[in-house]
Amino acid sequence: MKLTKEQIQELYQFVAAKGVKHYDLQTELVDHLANGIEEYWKIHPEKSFEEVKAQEFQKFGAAGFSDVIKKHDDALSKKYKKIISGFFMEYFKLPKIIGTITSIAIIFYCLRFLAREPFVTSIFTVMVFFFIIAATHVLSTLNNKIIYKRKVKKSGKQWKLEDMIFHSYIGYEKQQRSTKRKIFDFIIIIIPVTIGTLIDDVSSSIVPPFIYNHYWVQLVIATTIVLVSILTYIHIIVVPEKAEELLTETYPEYELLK
Amino acid sequence: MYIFEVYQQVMGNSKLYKGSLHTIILKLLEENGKMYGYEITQKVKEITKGELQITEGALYPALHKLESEDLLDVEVAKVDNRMRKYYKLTEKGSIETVNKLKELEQYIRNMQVLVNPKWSIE
Repeated sequence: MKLTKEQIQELYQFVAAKGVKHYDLQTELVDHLANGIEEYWKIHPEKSFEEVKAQEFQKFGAAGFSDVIKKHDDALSKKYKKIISGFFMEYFKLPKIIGTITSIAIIFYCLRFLAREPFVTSIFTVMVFFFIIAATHVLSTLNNKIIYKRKVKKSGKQWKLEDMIFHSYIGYEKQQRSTKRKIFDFIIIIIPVTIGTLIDDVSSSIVPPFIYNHYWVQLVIATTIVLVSILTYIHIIVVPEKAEELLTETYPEYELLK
Repeated sequence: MYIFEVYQQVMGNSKLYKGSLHTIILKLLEENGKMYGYEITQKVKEITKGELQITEGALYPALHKLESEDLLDVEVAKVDNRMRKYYKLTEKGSIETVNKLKELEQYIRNMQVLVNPKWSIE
């Protein structure tokens, strides 16, 4: 006895109700349960669909699908990080590396030029840089989320990888944004400010802001600005734009559904 | 499938030692080409005559992990009004299978010596 289309749909709903949000994993588990049910029916055709379904689900253990979901998330996070680092590494290869180095050089010289200005002006400019990056990040992420929401509403399907791509926040999906990550983001934004305050305190007393005027400090700041900008750009523009391509590559069924 | 029989003799139906599930999956895929999740559980049951059972809750995490390590590749086909995901070895996966099998064989050999020492003094 084979399962009907309606029963397959019921299995999709069942799996979703058990916490499997993403279509990619749902499909695999639905097929698994369906195979189990059909196999069992070969011996006990008198048993009802509901009964056998519950029985097959029990084979996943007391934790149900939760471990499968977690490990599936982990596996795709790894995949997502690989995608990001693949794009990121391109900026350190020809021809893009020319742009990377040029950008660092330009910002570095701007900083050197600013260093001749009063200290407050220069640190303020650095902060503005970071603010622009942060603002772009927030706005584009919001925009991506809106686009994604609409798409999910239309198709009724959520794909894990797509979820990550459109909720990206420096490599992490919204739900996974850990405290550690929040602290990291905070530090990135706060570094120039902290350096500023520290040195400002010193400079207002006796010593001039010598640390900030050191070329290597300026070089580090310039490099950080460029690297953070590249990462942001990849997360919120490059990868979302290539979403279709990446999804087709990852999920053969994505093409099949079109 | 000699390795499974030996493995069974040594390990019985107890818990799989860490990492051996990966080896079993790789080995099965090496022999059967592409397979889907349910098929893998059934195949193991069949070969070991029900002695060794792969639990569903462990199989899929293992498959997804191997896929994320680029050892497996996936294919999807429409079978009876549903979609089926097949796994197959990548080139990297084939190489890794050889290594993992060597490791497992070594482990089994050591276990056999420990459990059943047959030393003879001539």
